[in-house]
Amino acid sequence: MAQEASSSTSSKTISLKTGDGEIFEIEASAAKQMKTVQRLIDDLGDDITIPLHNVFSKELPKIIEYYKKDITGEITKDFEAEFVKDLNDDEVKVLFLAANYLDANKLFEFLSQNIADRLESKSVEYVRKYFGVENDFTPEEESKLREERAWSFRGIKEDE
Amino acid sequence: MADIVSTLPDAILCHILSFLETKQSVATTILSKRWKYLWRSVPVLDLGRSAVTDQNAYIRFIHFVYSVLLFRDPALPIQKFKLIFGYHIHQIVRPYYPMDTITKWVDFVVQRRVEYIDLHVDLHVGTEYLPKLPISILTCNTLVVLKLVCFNVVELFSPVALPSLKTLHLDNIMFPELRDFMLFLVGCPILEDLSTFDVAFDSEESLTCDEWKSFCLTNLTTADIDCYCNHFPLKAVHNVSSLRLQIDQENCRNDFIHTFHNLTKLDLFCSSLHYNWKMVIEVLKHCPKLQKLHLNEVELEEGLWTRNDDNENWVDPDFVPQCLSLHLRTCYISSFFGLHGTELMLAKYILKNAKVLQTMNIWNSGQPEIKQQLSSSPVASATCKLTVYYVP
Repeated sequence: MAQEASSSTSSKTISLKTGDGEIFEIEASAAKQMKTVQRLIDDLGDDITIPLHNVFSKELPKIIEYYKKDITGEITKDFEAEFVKDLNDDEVKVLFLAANYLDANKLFEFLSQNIADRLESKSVEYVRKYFGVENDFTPEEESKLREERAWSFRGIKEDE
Repeated sequence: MADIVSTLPDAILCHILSFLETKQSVATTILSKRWKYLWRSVPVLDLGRSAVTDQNAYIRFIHFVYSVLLFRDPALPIQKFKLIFGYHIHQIVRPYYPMDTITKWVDFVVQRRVEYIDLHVDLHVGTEYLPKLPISILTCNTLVVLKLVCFNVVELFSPVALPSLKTLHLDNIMFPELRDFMLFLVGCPILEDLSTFDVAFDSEESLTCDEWKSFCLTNLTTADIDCYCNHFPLKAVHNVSSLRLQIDQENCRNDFIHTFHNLTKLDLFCSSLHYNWKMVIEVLKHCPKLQKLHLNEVELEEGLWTRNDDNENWVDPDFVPQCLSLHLRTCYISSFFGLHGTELMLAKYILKNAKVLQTMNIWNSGQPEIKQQLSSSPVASATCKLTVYYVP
């Protein structure tokens, strides 16, 4: 759903169109924090709707919510904890990829930390699943690597 | 989804790995062939909390760290080095003395242009013996953040030079003299965030040199200072906008409190508001632009404080501190012993004179009548909201 455009005449809003055709409004100062968007504005002008082919209507509102808080300087640890609290691992990944595509640095850094937090002390299989990695080592190669870096594998639980 | 993630370039995967402890990021070597060498490009050495309980565990640990240092991409700088290392001093004998090894690692990362060091070495022998701080840290010109816990800074033969340092957190650090600590601060000209806790000196000596009288960390915006254990020249931090301070009347010497021209937020911790109310008023007089005040009573020294309801009587200050008349919006008071004599008068005084006060919150134990007493006393600000919380 399109968000309400800002009623103040002094702050400009930019229209963003997601890959699945929905349009969202964002303040120009928030758009500036997303370097990809700013580059598109510089190239296409700020009056037309900016197309974002790789970002979709499921995640863009959340990103806009983050930057709305950012431009008023209200991002606190509590806000960030609340922001990711109900997101599952896949949702965080999608946001992360979107932040990367949009070159939205602050959100990107925060989500990198959050992904690392989710992976902390997890088993090797869990991390593989998370990144969608196929194990292409032979059992011999794998056990040799485990031996070489033995200290890394002490105390890390393995899935059954 | 998996396809998209696997198209992420190595640099981004390494970036995520840089938020993990090195132990785990090295373990990603077995995820797949693509991941085998990714850990070598992570510019962070985060050894987290490593406690060893015997010599064998210690040897395995140092073997691991040395192999990481050897195999990582030598062209890459090391941005961050973190180690919290604990052991009992009798568990590890020479030639494997840990501080020798750790000093070598510190020297290595300093040479690799490290920007962030967080180092804590706990010898489990109390404060009589603190390990020596690796001195290469003190002339690292790329260092931006430095956090040190439990070190002895030995006599410095060359000046401290930390031209990029913005954040300095010191906890349980021993200097030979106060002068050496001042020289340390002089070496951090662009410092923005300073925290000191339990910074001690082998010899107590007051600052008499004229050169220190005007010393100030001009770029400092945030400070967290513990004046309770040892003298700290507050003049050095008087430019800050946010200050957390542990202090008692006894720590205040003549001409001790300077004017904090930019201070808008103050968290003050003292052992008893009852005995320190005069100091609190003095402090308020020196913070003309203060907007947010939090007064905390804490037990700074166990068993030291016993309530003695005599001697301390409230006297109205000769003039109302400017911050109360013009700027104070928020006031929190956390009272350990409850508000009785002078501290109750202090709370009432603030309510009576703080013309733009929006919020006054009080936390105390017991005393259900407090809210009534305060609600019925004069309040300068019509929009002030008073809340009293009870802490069991």
